[in-house]
Amino acid sequence: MPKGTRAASAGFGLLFRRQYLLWWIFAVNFVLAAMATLPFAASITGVMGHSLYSNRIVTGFDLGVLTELLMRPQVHGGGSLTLFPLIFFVFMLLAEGGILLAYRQDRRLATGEFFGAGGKYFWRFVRLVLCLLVLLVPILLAWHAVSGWSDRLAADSPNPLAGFRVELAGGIVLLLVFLALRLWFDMAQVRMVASDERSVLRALRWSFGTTVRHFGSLYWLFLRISVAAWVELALIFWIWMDYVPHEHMGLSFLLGQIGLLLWLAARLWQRAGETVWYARRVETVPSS
Amino acid sequence: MRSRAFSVLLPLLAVAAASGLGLAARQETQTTRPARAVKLTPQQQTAPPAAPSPTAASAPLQRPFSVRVVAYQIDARLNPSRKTIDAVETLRYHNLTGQPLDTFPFHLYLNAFQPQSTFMTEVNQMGTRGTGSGSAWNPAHFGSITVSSFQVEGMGDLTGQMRFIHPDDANANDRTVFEVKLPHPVPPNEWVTFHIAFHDQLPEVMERTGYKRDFFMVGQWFPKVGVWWQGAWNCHQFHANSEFFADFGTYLVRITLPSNYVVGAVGDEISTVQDLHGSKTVTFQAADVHDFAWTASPHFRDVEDSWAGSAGLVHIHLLMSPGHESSTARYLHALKGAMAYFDRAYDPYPYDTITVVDPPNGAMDAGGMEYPTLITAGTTWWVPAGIREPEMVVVHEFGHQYWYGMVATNEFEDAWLDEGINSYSEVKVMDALYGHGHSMIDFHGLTLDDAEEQRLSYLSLPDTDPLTRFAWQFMNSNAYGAISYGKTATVLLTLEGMIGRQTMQRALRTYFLRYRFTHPTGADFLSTINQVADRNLDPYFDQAVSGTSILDYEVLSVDWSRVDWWTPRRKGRQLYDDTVLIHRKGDFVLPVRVRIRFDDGKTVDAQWNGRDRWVRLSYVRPDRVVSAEIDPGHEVWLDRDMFNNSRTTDFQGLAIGKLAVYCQFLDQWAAQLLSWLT
Ligand SMILES: [Zn+2]
Repeated sequence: MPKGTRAASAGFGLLFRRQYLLWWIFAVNFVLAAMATLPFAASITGVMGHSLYSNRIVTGFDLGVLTELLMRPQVHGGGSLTLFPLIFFVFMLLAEGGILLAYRQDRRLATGEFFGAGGKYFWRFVRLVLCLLVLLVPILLAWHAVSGWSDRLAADSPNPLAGFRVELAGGIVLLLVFLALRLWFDMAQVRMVASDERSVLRALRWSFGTTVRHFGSLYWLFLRISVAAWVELALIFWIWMDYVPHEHMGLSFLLGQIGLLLWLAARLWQRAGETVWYARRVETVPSS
Repeated sequence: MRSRAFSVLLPLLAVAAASGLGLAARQETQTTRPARAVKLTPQQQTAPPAAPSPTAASAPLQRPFSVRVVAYQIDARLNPSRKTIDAVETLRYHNLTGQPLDTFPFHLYLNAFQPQSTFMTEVNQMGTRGTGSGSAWNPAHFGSITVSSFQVEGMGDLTGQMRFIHPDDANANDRTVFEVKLPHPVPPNEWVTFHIAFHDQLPEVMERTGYKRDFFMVGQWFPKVGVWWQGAWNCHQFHANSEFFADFGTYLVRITLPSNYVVGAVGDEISTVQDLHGSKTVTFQAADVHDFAWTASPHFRDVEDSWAGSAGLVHIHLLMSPGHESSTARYLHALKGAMAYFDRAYDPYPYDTITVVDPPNGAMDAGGMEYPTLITAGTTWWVPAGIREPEMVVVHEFGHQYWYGMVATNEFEDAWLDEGINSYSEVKVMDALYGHGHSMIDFHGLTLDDAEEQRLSYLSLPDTDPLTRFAWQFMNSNAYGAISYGKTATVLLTLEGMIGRQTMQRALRTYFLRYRFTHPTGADFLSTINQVADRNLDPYFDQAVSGTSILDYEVLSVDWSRVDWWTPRRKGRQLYDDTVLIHRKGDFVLPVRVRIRFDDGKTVDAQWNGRDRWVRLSYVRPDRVVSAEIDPGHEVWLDRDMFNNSRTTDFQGLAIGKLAVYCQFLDQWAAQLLSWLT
């Protein structure tokens, strides 16, 4: 594990040195979501903007009032709220190449350079996503089977916890499998940028062998940061639920955005850590 | 096929009946419980009840509480592996109809659990609780009740005279009601005795009844005679959205089953007899009730407790299923709280026992059901303390001891009278026990009141059917639920706002005292309210109860202008024309109060009869209007849109900002999650 630890801390240093990437992506995430929220906000303004009834949302969080609001035919905005995550998804596909290049070269890329790299790797990364989606099918099928099994247990087992335990255990195992899959594809992206590999299959083959051979150190590097991200978000959620007064919207906003910034930082930390690991373990000591 | 089965089983069951089915080979040990047991003497069975008080003052109830029309005695044997019951029933029926009776209809509810029954056809078309419309037929849900012998004392074996009837539809495949014509009528005030042998095949639990593994909830399981009501037999088929209706009487039921089973039932357990073959026979006795259900499981833990009510000590049996231990204290708190509330608000619970059944994992369809002195609850191992679903179910089902158990309205035809009045009472109890505004959910700042939940249910389908619709004739099962429960509760909450809380409570109490142990109608209920409130509320009832109009008032505009608007603004005292425009959007006409607030903090209340479609309220004052609010006390729960009930001149941005912040957060997070795939 010490190698993984060193890559993690070096990755964190890289994340910190190249923090403009974090801020920049976060800004895109924020601005696009704000735009996506506007139609919903406008529609509820029509209903609540001059109504005293809306105060029940301010001083507390009355689920009855909220449900009643969402039942109003005037309230809409679901379309843009659904569209935004897809736009951000495409944006990240476009930005991925620039992010990895900036980490690899540990320098600030000019905007043209950044998007040049993004464009260069875009279609390769799209093909990688398609491969990932294909591999996700068995995971989803396995999840479906676990769900069905746990539902049957929930209905038929005399032990009320049996279904839940199966669902939890199955869910954790499949999540760990998904993370391993993600790591494999992450390393394929790092390989593509590092060696300008054009073939998705060759990159995947290479990263599969490497990930399997160095599974301990790589997975430890990846998993730790993932767990940290989830714990961070849970902590933020707990503070928000129990300690932020309902009417302190500014504080809610700030806390939520800090949570999202750290969540995004965790993902970029993984990418930086993987890049560092590759530079140290593959390029300085060739693996084959 | 059926008649062949009859002829084969008949001699066997006749022998079993003669020897006392289920009572052979016993006598190893016997325990007897001297509960505050009721003696079932013929005198008491025939005597009329104490005259119901027409006023709100009540005297202590004396046995018999009810006119005991029926006396059932049933010997039943459960076969846990086959999920069957073989039983012999003796029914003594007292003809109090004032006329000779030669035809008797009986319910065979378990035959509803067959694919071509009216019940299943309706479930397939419009769903029912726990089962959506269009669900595939599940053979495990098959249930049946077969009468193998039907004899009438003094008239002989009439098994061949039985014929299925379909009073509600033309479904010849429905076998949930049969009728027997006697060779000669039963004269008025005479008794007639039926001896019926029957066999039950229980379904896997569905719609309140059946088995799940080795758990049994046995409801609507015996041939039950119809009710002579309003000059005719009232004996409806079993429908997807209907419950039940039966006469008061006595029950003496012996249940034989494996010794390791824990049993609970309507009434008092009066003896347990162990036999030499690993079985036992448990005997239950109940009086002044109109149904009998029982439950059994080897895994129940019987938590015994008691509650001291104004009418004496009530024994509590809480039959808990494995894994639900964390709900025990919650159930008991809710039950005792509900008992105390009903004791105070209406009258003491007059029975000496109440049994609460906690269905095990996977048997939730048996939960949330009421029988006299026995209710079924429902919980899970994980439900947090702030989510009060388990408590609400107990409060609701206990409430049915009053609205159904004692005030025994016709659930087929007047579902609103039991479910709706009970949902209103449930709101009151939940508020009293857990606090107004957050009685249903109080979880890390998220709140929901039971009254709001009822209103949301009403809002989901506010105008499809009147409250008075027969249960099976609602548009669909959602409409039945939204209107019988949610809308009725909302109508009564609004009524409470109109006549005052105290008057409302007095009206319900009077209705309860006047009609307990009888079968009142909707007209009885409404006329009692009119009488106690000393008002003619019929215009409201016509719209809210019998009608389907929508109630929706809105503040269209709130404006001010200087009186001398054509002159330049000057310093010092100004006069303003303040105007508020109120609009009645819906067809429902209800007088409403409007509160107008001015910028000096003062308010003015105005009353509008609501008859026209709109009204303009104008004031000339030295201050400017800042807001107008219809129904400032939030008493008109029926108003479909609470948001348009008020209008301010200032923009109310805080709530919008808050929701936008949350919404944006969730969308940003969703986007980041999705980007894990890139
Ligand atoms: Zn109910």
